Amino acid sequence: MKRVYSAALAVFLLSVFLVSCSKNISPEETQPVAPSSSSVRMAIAVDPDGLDPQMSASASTFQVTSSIYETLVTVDESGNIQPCLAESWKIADDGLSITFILREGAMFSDGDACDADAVVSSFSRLVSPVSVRSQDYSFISSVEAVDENTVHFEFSTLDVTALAKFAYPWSAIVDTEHEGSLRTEPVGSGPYMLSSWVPQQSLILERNPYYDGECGVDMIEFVVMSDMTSAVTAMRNGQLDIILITGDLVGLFEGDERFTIHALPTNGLQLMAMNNESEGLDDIRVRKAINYAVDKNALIEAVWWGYGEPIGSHFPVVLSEYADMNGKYPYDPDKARELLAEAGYGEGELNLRMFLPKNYQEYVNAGQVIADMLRNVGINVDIQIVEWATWLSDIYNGRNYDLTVVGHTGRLDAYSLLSRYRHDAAENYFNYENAEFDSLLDAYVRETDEMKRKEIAFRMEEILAEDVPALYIQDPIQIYVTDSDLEGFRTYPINIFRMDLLEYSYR
Amino acid sequence: MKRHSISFILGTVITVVAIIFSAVSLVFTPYDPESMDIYNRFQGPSAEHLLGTDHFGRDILSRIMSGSLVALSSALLSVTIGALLGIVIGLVSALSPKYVSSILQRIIDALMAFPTILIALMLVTIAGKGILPSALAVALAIVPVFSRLVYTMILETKEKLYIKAAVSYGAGRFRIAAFHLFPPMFSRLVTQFTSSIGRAILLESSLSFLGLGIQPPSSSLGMMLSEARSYVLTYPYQAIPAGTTLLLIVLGFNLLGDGLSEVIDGGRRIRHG
Amino acid sequence: MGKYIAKRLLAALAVMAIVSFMTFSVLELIPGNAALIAAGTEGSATSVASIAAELGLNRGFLERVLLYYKDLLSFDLGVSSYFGENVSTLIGQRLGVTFSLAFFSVLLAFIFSVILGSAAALGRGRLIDALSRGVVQIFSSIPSFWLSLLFLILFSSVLHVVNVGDYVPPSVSIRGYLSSIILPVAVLAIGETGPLLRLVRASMIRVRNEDWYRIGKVRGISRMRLIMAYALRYALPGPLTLAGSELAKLLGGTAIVESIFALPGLGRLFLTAVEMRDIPLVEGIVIFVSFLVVLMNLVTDLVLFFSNPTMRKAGGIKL
Repeated sequence: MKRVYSAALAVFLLSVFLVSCSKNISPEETQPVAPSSSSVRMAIAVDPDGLDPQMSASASTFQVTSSIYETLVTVDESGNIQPCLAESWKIADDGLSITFILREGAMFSDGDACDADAVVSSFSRLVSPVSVRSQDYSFISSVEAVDENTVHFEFSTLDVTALAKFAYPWSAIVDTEHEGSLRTEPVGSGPYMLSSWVPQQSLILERNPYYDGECGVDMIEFVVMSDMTSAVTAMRNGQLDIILITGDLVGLFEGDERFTIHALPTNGLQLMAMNNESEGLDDIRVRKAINYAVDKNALIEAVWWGYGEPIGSHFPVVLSEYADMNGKYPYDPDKARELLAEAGYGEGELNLRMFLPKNYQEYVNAGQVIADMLRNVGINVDIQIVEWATWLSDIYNGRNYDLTVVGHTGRLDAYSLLSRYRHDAAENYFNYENAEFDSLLDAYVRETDEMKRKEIAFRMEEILAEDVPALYIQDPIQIYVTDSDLEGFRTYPINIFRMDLLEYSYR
Repeated sequence: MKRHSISFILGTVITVVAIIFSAVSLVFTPYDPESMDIYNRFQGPSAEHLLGTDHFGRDILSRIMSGSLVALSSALLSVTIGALLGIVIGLVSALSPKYVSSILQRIIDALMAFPTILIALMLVTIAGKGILPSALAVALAIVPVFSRLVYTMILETKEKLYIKAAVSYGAGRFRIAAFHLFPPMFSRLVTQFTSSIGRAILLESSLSFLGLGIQPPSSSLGMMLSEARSYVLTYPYQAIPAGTTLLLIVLGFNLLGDGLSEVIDGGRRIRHG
Repeated sequence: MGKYIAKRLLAALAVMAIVSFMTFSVLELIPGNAALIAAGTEGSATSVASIAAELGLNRGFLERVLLYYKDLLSFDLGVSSYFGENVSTLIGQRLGVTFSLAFFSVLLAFIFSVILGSAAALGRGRLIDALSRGVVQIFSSIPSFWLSLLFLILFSSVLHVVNVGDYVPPSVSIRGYLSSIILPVAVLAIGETGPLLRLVRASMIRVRNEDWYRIGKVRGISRMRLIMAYALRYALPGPLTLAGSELAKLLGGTAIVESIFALPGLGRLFLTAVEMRDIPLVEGIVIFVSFLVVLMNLVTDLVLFFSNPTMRKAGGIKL
């Protein structure tokens, strides 16, 4: 008898434990939002890396923080600068200083004023070593509050792209009084504020009561769904309002009037980087051979279902300084073999190691397709799939690789985008070196004439297309599916969402 | 009179077929399992491709053949390593003074509590690709099964009269182990070995599923399933061939292990009867 | 008795120390760290250094380990470097999910095994015995991740009966909660049924051969009464202890199922923590789960200890 009782006791204890555990998730944290016209549920694949925009470099952070904080200026869909926290601004004639006039009455979500002093202390934090972006803003030599609504920036070097730097989401104005806890308890002056965040489950934003602008919806819920299958299922069952999908899934939504499909080119690019110092790849003929060997259209079809714009240089098609370099290396395997033979590599004599970041299934797929195409021209490719952390440490920072496939997010100007090709840049994981290119970069930031600046950008793109430090694959097209009643959803050339512009219409 | 064991017969048939099926891939597969044909992807079964093609247009049958070979050889390797290690640890801890055995026991406990995923991750990142790292990770998960088995079997037999007799004759500790303790354990170990192969195949495929197993372009059944996962909504058929093969191979070894123990126990009962 | 438990707990501490130190070493050996991840491909080299300093990664290995243990002594598991949240809060948020999965799947498997196992061993028909043996073999051969995919295809995408990826805690809606965990619970239960059913059947066969059972039968006690009142009571402690240790194992082993069904459980948290090189979070989960495993093993051993006095003599429990 005794043993049965002890066994029963054990089971009972477990049940008690279970019940007490499930209570750990308190109701107000996870209460699903009642379906109402004023709430939007959007699926995101990964959690933000904290909600402090100055302490993160991850796109997933800015997608959320762009609704919580405000930047001095912002951009429209085509990348034109628009007022945000600053109503107006004036750039000095010599380009070495800029003055912003702030919107009157802007307030942080805790009720404190978001005035010139707040802007100054937020920027002091941004340029200090604690921030991830300090280097990008090292051109700022001083920031001062002229009066309550006026902030004056002085620059140490001429940078014609300076204004755009005040639009990027990482330059957002944070309430530095809360600087230690912004990662989990953000305080900003944006239209929304954090209501709750249970990592890997959901993140809920509600209206910032101190925000004086208009908002079409009162509540935004980001639902963390790492698996696209479950996100798509939930969307089709009407539990979500916005999701991002891959090309193969478009057919599931097409022709269904409940949904609107937005397929839009983004400001970004995907490429296969080559280590320009590796044996074999240090020969430009080999790099060209690789470019001839890859059928980009087939690659884009295989991996992205045709949703992508092929590119021939390190430049997204959506930017105004884009020049089409696609014609340089048409798919031509015979030409590739010829060039390889010229460089001294016969069939099967060139061995290359390819590293692919595991977390990005599209890059893993692209790498495998490219490897198969390279094998066809007699290059042996040894694939290794590594974790993102390993990739960052050994490949990106350690530069111990031959080939790797990865993507880069776009910037608003050619300099920010291309400065990683400077021979001594820490981010130059290609090990690329070209003196003409370096001097063009310097010339670009000092050139105040827009037309001439464009010419310089074109030349830089041409040099990269000529030297091919990488195989440039495509500017990706992102496919969002939204509830067809939801209006105002747009994508922007920088990593932001404008949730305040969303609103529901009724048929 | 010998009793026929259905498990044994069925298990033998399935495993032999699986071994032949995968061994053939060494000399012949219908297509090159790694060669892609982008514009002919996601095809259903046809005369050309008996099991259809995958998301890169590779022939699924060819990939399953070579994937099975990878699964079988890596499972064999990991169970061999795991069994050897486990037997040694079990023997040592059963025959050593108490403090040694309790230290060994704590290490085994720690090994069991330690996440296999971490071990696999470490081995794959440090030792690189090929079947060895993931086979080692699986082996470490197999070790406790064998060490426990050997340990308890020895404790059981230790009490038997003939061992006590051997001790009284002054036979050395390891002589007793080799000549008196080990032989009666042999059949149990063979049985355990066989069914552990099934378990090892499952473990390896779940590591592959998480991307911690064998690296592409080599095909592993777990990896094929992991790739199929992305197409559950659009091409659900992709998950069927590799999964069925995996199920059948594991089932074969489990049945064989079960059948073996029936045949051996049955035989013993007859001898004693 | 008290001494026995104290000794066991001490051994448990030793095991946890070994496990946590092994975890530190593994994380030290594999490339990459949280600072690199935070800076990504867009941050600069100087920011990597400042983030590393912020996270304390610039200290030596041993110093970091010792500091961690010092905090651990005051039950402080630290702050996750990726989520910026207390590790104990993160574990607490997910425990309910993982525990629900583990508990209900073992419970389901246990009930099913007892019914089928008793019927197979004590029933008259050979058919039901063959069936139970077939179930054991097939259930222990199905890869759980494959079964999850099949369930996902069938129930979610073909039949549209279950929503996936939308975990609802029981405090919000019991119905929603059950529907969000039913598929993964079924998958895990099938995996657990194999060993449990095998053991129940074997213990019941032993019951069948016991003298008291035969006498009971001869005296004409009804079969149902005989099974319910005597046989089960005699045969169940073994399977119950197995169920206990399987439950403990599942607490650390639901990662794959959680990630396929997009449930916010401990396993998925662990996978993310490792991926993001979030040392405090990985350590916290490893220590917590190994503590649970050790605790569950102790509980099951104690049950065994009370239920079977011969175990005490035979040394079945190693101290």
